[in-house]
Amino acid sequence: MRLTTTLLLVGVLSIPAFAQQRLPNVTVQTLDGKKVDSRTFSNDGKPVIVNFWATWCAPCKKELNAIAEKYADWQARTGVKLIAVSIDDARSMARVKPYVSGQDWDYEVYLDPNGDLKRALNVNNVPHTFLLNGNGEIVYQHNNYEPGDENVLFEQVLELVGKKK
Amino acid sequence: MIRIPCGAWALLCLAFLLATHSAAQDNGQLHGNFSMDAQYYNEDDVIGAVVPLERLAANSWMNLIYSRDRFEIGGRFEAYEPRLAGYPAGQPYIGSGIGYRYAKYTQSDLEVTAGNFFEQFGQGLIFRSYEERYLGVDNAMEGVRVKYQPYPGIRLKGIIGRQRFGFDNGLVNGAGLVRGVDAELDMAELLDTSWTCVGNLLIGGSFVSKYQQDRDPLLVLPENVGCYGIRLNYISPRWNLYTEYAYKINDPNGKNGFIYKPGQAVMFNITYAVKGFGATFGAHSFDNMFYQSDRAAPTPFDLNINYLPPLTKQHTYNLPATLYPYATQPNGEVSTQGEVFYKWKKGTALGGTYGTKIAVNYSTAFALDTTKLGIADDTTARMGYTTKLFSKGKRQYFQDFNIEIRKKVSADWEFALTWLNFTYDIDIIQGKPGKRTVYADILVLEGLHHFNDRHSIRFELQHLNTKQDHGNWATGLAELTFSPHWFLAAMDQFNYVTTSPEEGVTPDRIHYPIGSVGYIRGGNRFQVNYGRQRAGIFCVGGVCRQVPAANGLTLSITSTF
Amino acid sequence: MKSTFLFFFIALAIAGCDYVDDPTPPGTGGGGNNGGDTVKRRALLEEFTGHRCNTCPAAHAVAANLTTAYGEDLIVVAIHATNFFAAPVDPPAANGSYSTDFRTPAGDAYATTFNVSFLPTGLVNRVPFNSSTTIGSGNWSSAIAEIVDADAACDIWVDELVYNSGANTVSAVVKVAVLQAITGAHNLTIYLTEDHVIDWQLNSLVSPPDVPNYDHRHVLRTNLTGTWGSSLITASAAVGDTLTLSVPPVSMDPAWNGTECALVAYLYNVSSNEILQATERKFQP
Repeated sequence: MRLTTTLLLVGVLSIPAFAQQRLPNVTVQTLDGKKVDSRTFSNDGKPVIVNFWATWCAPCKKELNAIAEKYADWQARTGVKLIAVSIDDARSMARVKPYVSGQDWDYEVYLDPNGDLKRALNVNNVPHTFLLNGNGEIVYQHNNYEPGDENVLFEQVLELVGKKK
Repeated sequence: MIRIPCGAWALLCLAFLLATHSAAQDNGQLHGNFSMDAQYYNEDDVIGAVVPLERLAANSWMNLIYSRDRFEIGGRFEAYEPRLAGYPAGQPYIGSGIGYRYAKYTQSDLEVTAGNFFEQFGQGLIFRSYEERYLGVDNAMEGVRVKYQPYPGIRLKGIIGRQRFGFDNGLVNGAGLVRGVDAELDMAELLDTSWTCVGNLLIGGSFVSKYQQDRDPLLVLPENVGCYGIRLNYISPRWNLYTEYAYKINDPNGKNGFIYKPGQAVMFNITYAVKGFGATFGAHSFDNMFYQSDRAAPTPFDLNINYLPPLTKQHTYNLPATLYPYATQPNGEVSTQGEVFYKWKKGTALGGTYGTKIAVNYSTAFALDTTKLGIADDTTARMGYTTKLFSKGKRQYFQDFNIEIRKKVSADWEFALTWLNFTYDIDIIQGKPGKRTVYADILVLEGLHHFNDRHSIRFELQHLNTKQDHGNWATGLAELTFSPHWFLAAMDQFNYVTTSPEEGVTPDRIHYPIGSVGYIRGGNRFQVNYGRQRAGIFCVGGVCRQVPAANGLTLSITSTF
Repeated sequence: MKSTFLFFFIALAIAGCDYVDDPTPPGTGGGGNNGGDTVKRRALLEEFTGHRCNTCPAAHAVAANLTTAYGEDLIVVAIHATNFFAAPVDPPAANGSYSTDFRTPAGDAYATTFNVSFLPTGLVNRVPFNSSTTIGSGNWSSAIAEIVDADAACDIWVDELVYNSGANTVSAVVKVAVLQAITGAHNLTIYLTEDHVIDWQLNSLVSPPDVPNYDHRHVLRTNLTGTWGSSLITASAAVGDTLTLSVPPVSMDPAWNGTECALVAYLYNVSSNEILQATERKFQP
């Protein structure tokens, strides 16, 4: 059994460069209760940031609050859109909409209560951020948040739209 | 024990991957993640540290998902050689092998999954199969799931299978069979233009039933135990009203003393949200709602079919989160909670230059008021007790009041001040009978200073003040971050106990220092901790599990690719 | 095709539920015997417990009820184990509560081998029930019923028991009569248990929960043959064979009350841990 699993791993790791990853086909909920397919996340050919967070995750909230201060500027310069996917489950799901309103965020917020999208994108823990180019392909990802990471993220966004800092 | 023949499956997987790879590289994609927690244990008699015989323990997982067009297959390889001390919460995990694998086909209105899957009906009050990997909770289903949308606005789900119980060089499933069906109507989508109401109304109903053989010679146990539920969710731009009711027929099980009383659960929640202000209020009442697919599962952490979350705020700071967490009492509880979020805008008096945020939370949990009946009396058919939903008993299990204020005072400085007040019935919640209810006050000061664009330091000072249990605690934490790759952190928790606790015994004043270093690059993260870890509490369903104290070196690796 | 799926959902919805009116099965009062010639398999319930395990007294009550129901067909041994529940309190309490150490090296070894961390739990002939070797008290009744139902592969009894109260030693001769062919390595383990030990117990069923004079039943005190027993069958044993194990005198702790002691002997399969047959003989019948 060990031999076959080793073979499997070797086989997997020997497959060269993976195809550019696109968002998978998973149902998430909007804060209005509508069901949306994650494959439809798009921004008219402009970059999209998909950020996984939770109301119980302090670094996640710091990241989204730090970006919130610069969001208007980011949007003006690059047209980027941030989609915040909350992995709060039934315990804290009711708290998401009031919290988002209380923070005065302008993001598109979705709920992933059983972690389906999180698992489909192989996210281990939050915060985890993905950057998609205009074609919906994932070109950059980052785990964890430290103050200043949002600047690195924005540099990546600028590269996508071909602008200098 | 049910063993999954993984060798054949792994070869099939490999063959399929290589075959499709050598063909045109259409839209086939292979991605996955890897996670490992390894710990080397030192002896430490002062804190009673646990040291397993192997000295080095490691939990590792690797997930792979291959998707192409409408098909998707995935699997997870797990290794516990041996498992970390105190992990998982329920049945032990031993050895290594495939613990999860599935194949899925999706088309516009239909999705079929065969193998292992996670699923939730509504908010999970009747059925929730999920994983919290780092806590050690995983009750994945193994069987078949069908999701079907016959008409826009009508969503049907059906599941049938067994639940994950343990791991012994491969997946081990529990004894009971679980099947269920869920239907949800989205009125706005269904009625389309005929729907003229301002908001949206979602109506859902589910039925779940478990089958387990009756091999008991002394009682006639019901082999099929069903649970019904209905839910209603009204959502408008500002308001959100959610209510759910569940009814479980006779389910004599090891956690309720084998009584034949039905179980009931009611929960409701209202939220109001406008820009700058959000409020939520909720209440729930549970009565005899332990629902495990093995009626006499070894621990309350195993084989849970439903999910009964506590109606309390999940705290992020170390002391309130790990010393006195609340755990739902599925056999009976009445709980309410209210929370308000507000932001004073920039330029206003209290807002200052950057704005000020405040969050206030209040939650309580009480016992359910019950009247005992004689169990041996057959005329009452072993009903156990009578009660009414939402009738509060005299005993208060939990109360939590807290206020949190966050403010950015200058371009480089941010602060957060939090005050928490707890009433904690440690006797019932942590299963320590005879101990007095804990009344505790916690004050937390958090500060963040930016040296420049990339470097910053964050510190926390926490203080817990109580005359019960282990007395006072103080925690200090400092975290230096060098965006985007490095961080360094040091934390010390000190149980300094100013007055001798009511138990009459003065414990030693112990320090728990711990240092961490971490490196992050893209989707990969490496972290090394060294020091003492305090014994932690992990609670599910009214029973708390001690995660033992440990001293040593920990290495964590997570990677998403 | 689509109607098939709709039918699937309807079928699941009618999956059904059993509502039980009368929990007591009709005619429960000792099963009939099918003749005195076949030796029935006896069940050995090893319950893991601890004096600071507040939910354990409920499990002790379950074991006591089962002993009444099964009589001689069930043997119960209480193994005090795990640091968390069975270790004496440290620092010692002013009133001397929970100061006795009921743990034994053998008990600790069994707890480690069978991954016991959550009490109360038990082993029934060390055979898995519902995919788990450690069995919650709710399933003991069912697990024991399955063992006791079967014909025994062998019979085992304590042929000689010599207790020297003056010197505080006990020696024994245990015999095994093979009734069905047995293959594989099998060891014989002999426990010394003491019944009716009065000491502290934490009990969540009463108030206050600290009970100073709790009646501890069938406490495992020591192993006469070592933790994993002495080898009795190395490769196989044929029908009709009688095997003997003689144990030289073993010292007992003077604090143990000889009149309440008993020997429990069992034969088990070394590779699968399954206990084939067990017996109990009290020092004073």
